Amino acid sequence: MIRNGQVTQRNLCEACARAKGVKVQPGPLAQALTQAVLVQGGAGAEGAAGPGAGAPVSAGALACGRCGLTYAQFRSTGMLGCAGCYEAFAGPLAPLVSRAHEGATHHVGKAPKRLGGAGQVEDPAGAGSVGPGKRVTRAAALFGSPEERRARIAVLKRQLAEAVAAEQYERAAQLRDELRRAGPEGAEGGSVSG
Amino acid sequence: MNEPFAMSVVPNEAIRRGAPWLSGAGAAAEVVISSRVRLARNLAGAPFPGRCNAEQRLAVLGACRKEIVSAGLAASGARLTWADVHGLPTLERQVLLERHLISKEHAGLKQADGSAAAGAGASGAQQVKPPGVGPARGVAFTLPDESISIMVNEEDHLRLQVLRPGLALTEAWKQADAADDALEATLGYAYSPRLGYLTACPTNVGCAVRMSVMLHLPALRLTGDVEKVRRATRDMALAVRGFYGENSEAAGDLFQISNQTTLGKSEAVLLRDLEREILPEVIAYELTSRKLLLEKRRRFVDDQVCRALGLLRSARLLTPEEALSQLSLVRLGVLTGLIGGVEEQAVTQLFLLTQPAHLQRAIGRELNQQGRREARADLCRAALAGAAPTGG
Repeated sequence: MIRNGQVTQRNLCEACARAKGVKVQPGPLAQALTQAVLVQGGAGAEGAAGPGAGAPVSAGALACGRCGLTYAQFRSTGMLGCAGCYEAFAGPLAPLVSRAHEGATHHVGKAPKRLGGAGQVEDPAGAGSVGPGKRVTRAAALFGSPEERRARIAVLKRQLAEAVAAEQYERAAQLRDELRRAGPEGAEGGSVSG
Repeated sequence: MNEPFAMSVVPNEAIRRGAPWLSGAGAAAEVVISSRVRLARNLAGAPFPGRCNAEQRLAVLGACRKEIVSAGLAASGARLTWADVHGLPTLERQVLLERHLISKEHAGLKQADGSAAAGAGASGAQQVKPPGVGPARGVAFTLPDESISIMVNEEDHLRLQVLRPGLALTEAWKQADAADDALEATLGYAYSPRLGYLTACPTNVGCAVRMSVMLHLPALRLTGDVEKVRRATRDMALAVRGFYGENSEAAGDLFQISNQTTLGKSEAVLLRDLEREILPEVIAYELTSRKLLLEKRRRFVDDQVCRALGLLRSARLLTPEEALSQLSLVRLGVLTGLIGGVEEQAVTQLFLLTQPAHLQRAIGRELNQQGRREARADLCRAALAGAAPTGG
């Protein structure tokens, strides 16, 4: 685990380099974001025995039965190979997806008409109203479960210390903002569901 | 006429006119240049483009093309144009990129401003790269409105975007939603009830929608407050980018603000967050800053915009960055009444018309960097010939 932790830190430096504008791996922002999220996900999975328990050791060997992509390949590019990858890598992917989307785990919104269409998943707050519904959704999305939050805060604090030590102030400011958003007050409640 | 010009998919008339999304129409157009909604969709039966072999890519391209061209997506009076992007010359791919009809990745160009590709086109030595560049991919877009464009085999099988002038996210979403419905009727999308639309990158999963606006914030830049907007939007999990997307600096004081997350919020909520909560504040902030600048620092602003006009009316060589930054100030001058004799929209269109590929298409031949700088300066002098300070 400690060894994994060290690997994680080296990856982090690449993410930092990207944040500084050094092109480690040119590509869309989404890709860079996934990379950053992947790094956090690996570290988080070590601290909290969740759906990704054991993932750092075994997940890399996972492969999608449909397209053949391995989890290790996904980790290196941040790109999945086919729709089937979402099922094949469901375990290790879940915390990454949740983290990339502010704690959300379930889709809310449009659905193909052949599956019943948008009517079944309309947002409770609706487009026209600005009410408490939105705040609850946002808070829940931000804070997630207590364990997840604690693990995330620990990772963020470590990253912040590293960024400050490396004088990467822009990244440090981003991490500080993230930490603020992950703050403890009003954080009860689970993740968002459809 | 040489080949890069013979194979153009964007008509000459459109090149001369500029882009519809820069027309200055629409709500809050003083600040909001354009609104864009982009959906990512994948076919259920095929690997994502990055994982497709050449044969699978062609099959996806063919299937999508067939449905796209027969889906009746063009509004009345408009028509749908299809192009195999891999078969287009560098210059034409760059034209499509500059008009925001395709992404930088889809264009297959090294830099967003196309400088590497344009340089290659001019140097001769590197020009051996034939049409037929990169993997099979395509784009469909409507003319003359250019409101819809659909990239096939980008990061996802389909990237459907609607681009409109001014603040028009709701209208853009409605149009994208309807086009999506029309395609979905025949193309089976990869979709999971729990995760929504499945995308190659998990950061796009869910609604798989990116709603963005391009804002012109010259006053906030002059007052130094633009960083506050950056910080505030970042705190709200919004992405802030430049004129040409990620990694591009905010040249010309143009900033794109878009939603960052796509899972756990409906399209309606994303729309409301942006259009009703965030954007009105940013727009008001910029307009208030313009007003305050005029009231309290009028001579300073007048000096800034008139210097910019003087430079553009006198320069014999202009880089793209210099042109954009000076045009931004001239636009501010026109909108605040400090500069007269030129229409605001003529200035705004110059943001696009001074781009490298547009300059070359307008002139009708390939230009090296020096040639482009000359052409850019000539164009600005001609376009701003009637413009003059109003006297503060």
